[in-house]
Amino acid sequence: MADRGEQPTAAEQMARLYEQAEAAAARASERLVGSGGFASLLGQMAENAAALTKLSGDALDLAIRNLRLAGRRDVIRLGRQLARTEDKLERVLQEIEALQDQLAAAPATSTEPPESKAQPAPPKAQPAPPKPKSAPPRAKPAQRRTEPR
Amino acid sequence: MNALRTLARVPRATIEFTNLLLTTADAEIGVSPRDVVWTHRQTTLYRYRSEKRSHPIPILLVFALINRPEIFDLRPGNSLVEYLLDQGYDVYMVDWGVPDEADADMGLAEFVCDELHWAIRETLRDACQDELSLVGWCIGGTLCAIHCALHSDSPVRNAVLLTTPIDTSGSLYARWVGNDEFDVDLIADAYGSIPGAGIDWANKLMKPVTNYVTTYRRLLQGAIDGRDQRVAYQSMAKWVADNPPFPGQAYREWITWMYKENRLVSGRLSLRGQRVDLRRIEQNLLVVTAGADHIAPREGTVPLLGLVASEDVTHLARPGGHIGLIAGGKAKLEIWPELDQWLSERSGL
Repeated sequence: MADRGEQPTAAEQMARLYEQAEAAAARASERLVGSGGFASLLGQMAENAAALTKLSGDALDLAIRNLRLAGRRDVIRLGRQLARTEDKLERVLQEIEALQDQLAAAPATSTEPPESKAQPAPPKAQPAPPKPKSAPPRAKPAQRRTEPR
Repeated sequence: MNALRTLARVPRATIEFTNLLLTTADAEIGVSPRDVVWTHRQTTLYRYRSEKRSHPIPILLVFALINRPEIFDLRPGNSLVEYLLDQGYDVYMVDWGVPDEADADMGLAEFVCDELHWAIRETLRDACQDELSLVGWCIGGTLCAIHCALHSDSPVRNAVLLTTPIDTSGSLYARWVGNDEFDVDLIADAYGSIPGAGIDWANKLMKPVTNYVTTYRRLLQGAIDGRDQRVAYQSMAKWVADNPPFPGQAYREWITWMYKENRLVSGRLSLRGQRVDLRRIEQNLLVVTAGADHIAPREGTVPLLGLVASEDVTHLARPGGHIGLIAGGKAKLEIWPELDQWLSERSGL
């Protein structure tokens, strides 16, 4: 082998030549895709593909609608309605959790005697305050550094 | 003689090479045990439980809107999640799911102000903590930076941004999609959600010979040389090929605001009427950049360091690629210990 002071074999020379050619092709291709002309071509290709997709999608959807079948658009519309409902449900859940937190915290802070249970119900609970953002001192002293290897 | 021996190995290597390609889909990735903590639309928040928990501040992992977050937990023995658990962290991960056309209306505001914001809330509730460390990678890092910029009172104590695009001027992406000939509205309207395969194709086209020729030539050479490359190659190849669609509205906004108008770094980005001002980021900040990153080049991330108000800013400038730096074979020995050291110093009560 070459590292033992021997001449590289024909196969090794071939492999090395191929790798050099591949590396050169890689550099050339990266220059090509980085050019303005390629960017312009890519933009037009993407537009063509999108336009064809839209045309074919519209044609298929029209055909399915004329057959009185639910098409993709109908399914998407239903999916969006479900998503909107889930958004609202999530917000309601968050409100409930905040109220639960407030209720759970209430006995710990309450100093009223047990007889107060017989009194009229307290006013409706207010929305929970923001979660405490206790900010303990940062464990690391202030610094700004770059660590190049 | 050597040439003859190599020639004799070719038929067997060819079969092995073909087998490696054909059975890639069967590779197992993202296998660490995890619990579902919270779901909303396509988003799921997972918790990985550490048996050695020693740091009270949990970590929330946020990946990009392209590809799947399983890269954080690629394979046993080479998993960032596994490593962090082993170091005693409580680890959570946001999975954006696989959006379809019904999710095409989700824009960056929905991802940052709803999904990420709520995921942080649920993480804190589940971990019974008031603060967390946010670790964002690629677009996920940008979303984390936007979140921190929008909420100066955010419970995020530490922000870690891994190979994150911030200033896109001069990047190859900006050259491709920043010109007027790339009509992002037409594309987003036509597809609803942009097919993941298209995004993957564009990513690979940035280095066409490397991605379409060199990878396979090296794989074949490895088979001829008798190297055991099955697990390493297949896990990464499976992850690379798993491309969920990019929600149309988020794609439209990402391309327009980040690449056509470069709004984030210039402070002209607003979400739900609130300006995203990177100067409002006050968290302890760790920024990791990769020298050979062609997707989020270092020069596109470094401007962040001069903008933020954080008093504790660390920049790890390392060699490597966009994904390889964090998930490659050497990551466990090189970048992960550095991440752990930085986090451990800032994850105490």
